Amino acid sequence: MTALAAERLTRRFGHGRRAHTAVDAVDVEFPAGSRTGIVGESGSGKSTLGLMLVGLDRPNGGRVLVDGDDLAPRMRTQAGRRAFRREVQLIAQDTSSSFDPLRTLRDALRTPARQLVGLSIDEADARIAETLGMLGIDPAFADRYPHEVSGGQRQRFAIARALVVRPGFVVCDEVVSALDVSVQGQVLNSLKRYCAQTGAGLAFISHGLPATAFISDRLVVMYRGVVVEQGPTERVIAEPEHPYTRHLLNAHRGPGFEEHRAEVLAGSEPLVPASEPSAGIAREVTR
Amino acid sequence: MTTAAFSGSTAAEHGRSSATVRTADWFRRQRWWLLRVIALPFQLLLFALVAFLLVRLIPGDPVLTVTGNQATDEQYARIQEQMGLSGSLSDQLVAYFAQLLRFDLGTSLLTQRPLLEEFGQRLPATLELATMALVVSLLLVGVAAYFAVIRPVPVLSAAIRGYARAAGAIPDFAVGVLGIFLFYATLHLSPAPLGRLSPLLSTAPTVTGLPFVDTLLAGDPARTTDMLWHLALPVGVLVIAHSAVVLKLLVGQLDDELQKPSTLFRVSTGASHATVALSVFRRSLPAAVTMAGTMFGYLVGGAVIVEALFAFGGMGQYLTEALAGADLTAMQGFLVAIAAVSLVVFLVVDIVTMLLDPRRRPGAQTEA
Repeated sequence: MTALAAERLTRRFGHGRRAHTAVDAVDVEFPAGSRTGIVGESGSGKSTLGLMLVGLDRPNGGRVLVDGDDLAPRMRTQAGRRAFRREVQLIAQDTSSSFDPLRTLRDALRTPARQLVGLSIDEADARIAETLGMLGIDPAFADRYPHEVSGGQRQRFAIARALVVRPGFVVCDEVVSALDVSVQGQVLNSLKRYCAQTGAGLAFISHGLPATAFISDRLVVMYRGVVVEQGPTERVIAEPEHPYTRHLLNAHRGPGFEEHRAEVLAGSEPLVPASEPSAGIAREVTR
Repeated sequence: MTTAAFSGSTAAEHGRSSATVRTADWFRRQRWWLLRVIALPFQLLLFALVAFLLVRLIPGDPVLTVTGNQATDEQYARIQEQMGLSGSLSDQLVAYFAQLLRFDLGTSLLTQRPLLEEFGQRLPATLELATMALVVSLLLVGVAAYFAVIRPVPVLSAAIRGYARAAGAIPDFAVGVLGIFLFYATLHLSPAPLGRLSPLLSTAPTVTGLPFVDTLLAGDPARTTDMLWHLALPVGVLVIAHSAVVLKLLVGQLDDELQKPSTLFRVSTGASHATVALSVFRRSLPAAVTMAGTMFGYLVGGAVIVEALFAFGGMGQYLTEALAGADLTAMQGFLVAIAAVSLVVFLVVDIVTMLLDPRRRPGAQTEA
């Protein structure tokens, strides 16, 4: 059980006139055991927010709070970093590049089990087998290289890599967007089950509203680096307050997308997607 | 991937002996490099064919060039025979391949000695010089790339990146002349560019044909130090002129791999700094190894020039004479010998990259 919170969290890329604020003074709370969906279009800053939450990107301003304590001092020592990473894990969107192509999947799963949990090789392998069973993955696949399994299997291995340390909080960045619908359901169910069984918290970042609504009890809507709306999932979907949220909902409801987009464009801030920030996973994927 | 396991089980079901199954299984797993080695002699024969045709494409009558238009018909026929130019093209080709299969490259027209012997005396020295330059280059490139990317040091990193960007901008002969002018003529730090040893020292007895290795084997510290002192500048010239290409590539690869999500996840799963650095390096190496193989080709070319500048004797001088004297067999033999060397180098390159990266092995399935 781990609670995270973003406090005036800000991340800027570039300098001077070309500076771009990807995340702008964001305040979001992730109470222990809660499942929070973060939605928004490409470039809205949701991936960057995710990276800062797991300590893989450093904010220019504001703080990440872990159970009420500032994260920054903990990240200064190897022991502090490892203790934090045992608690909070990231699952990323592009699995074809998130695994080291030169090591087997088992190797990739052993690192967290041994370095973060401190298990021996045998204990690590037992833990890996248990985790793979939990996610319904054939353990024989573990001795393959990442390029030797399908995208759906690789995505489940990416989830296994995060869950093998039994984290108290998981940040998922577009984990189902690249999968076909039947596999999406399996992956979402196993994630939801893990959170229900262990009481772990979840931050589910996605541009796909249906999947996010299915898994989360709270929704955070981001637009151009700013949180425009947050609240219980049912309330946000039933009575969206911000025009951008309404636009997002309508885009998923099918026809009328262009009309609504025009309406939103006329009524509020310009809806030009900001360019993707040039760092971290975001850049790799958009390249 | 499933086919391997499947065919393995059927072989067992058909009651073949376990030794056969084991051998078949071993071959399946080792196939990626075995096939590459088996292909080697065939590739060499293909190169020999190309060399054979290329030499025959040279305009003019080589027999006339050699005889100087003063031979009797009888002498003309004898020399034509010796050059392997009598009979139809297919007859010549059959005779040439039969000769090659006996490991015979033919006899030099100018010196009347077997080419294998001639090359045996010269090629090893040239290859040794190129190999020394390659080893020194790779060590320096590795260290330089580490300080440019993995652990940047303010001014040094910028200097390394600057040098890498200037990749191959200055030709080796210019670096050589500049080096001799600076270190020998001006600063007097380097010995006179007149061979591998000081004139008063005798050369070590020939064991391997590689001058430095032979000197090492002879076990005379004074002679070894003297040769190292003589080799420092020529090797340095080759390194300065040629290593930038590999450095540029490796720095670029390291930059890319460092940014990749796989690096990020190495960090997020708790790997130590050294492990992360090692993984980034390992992922960057295959491309650099391929480039290093290409660089070896350039180094052999550069070594020929450096040998001329430093009066080392060797392949360069021999080739110039063969070309001027229209020594057809020598040119043809040289092409085959160099092809053999390059094929072995690229075999090593392929095996090393396939060892480093399982995706490069033949039959590896890759998804988009």
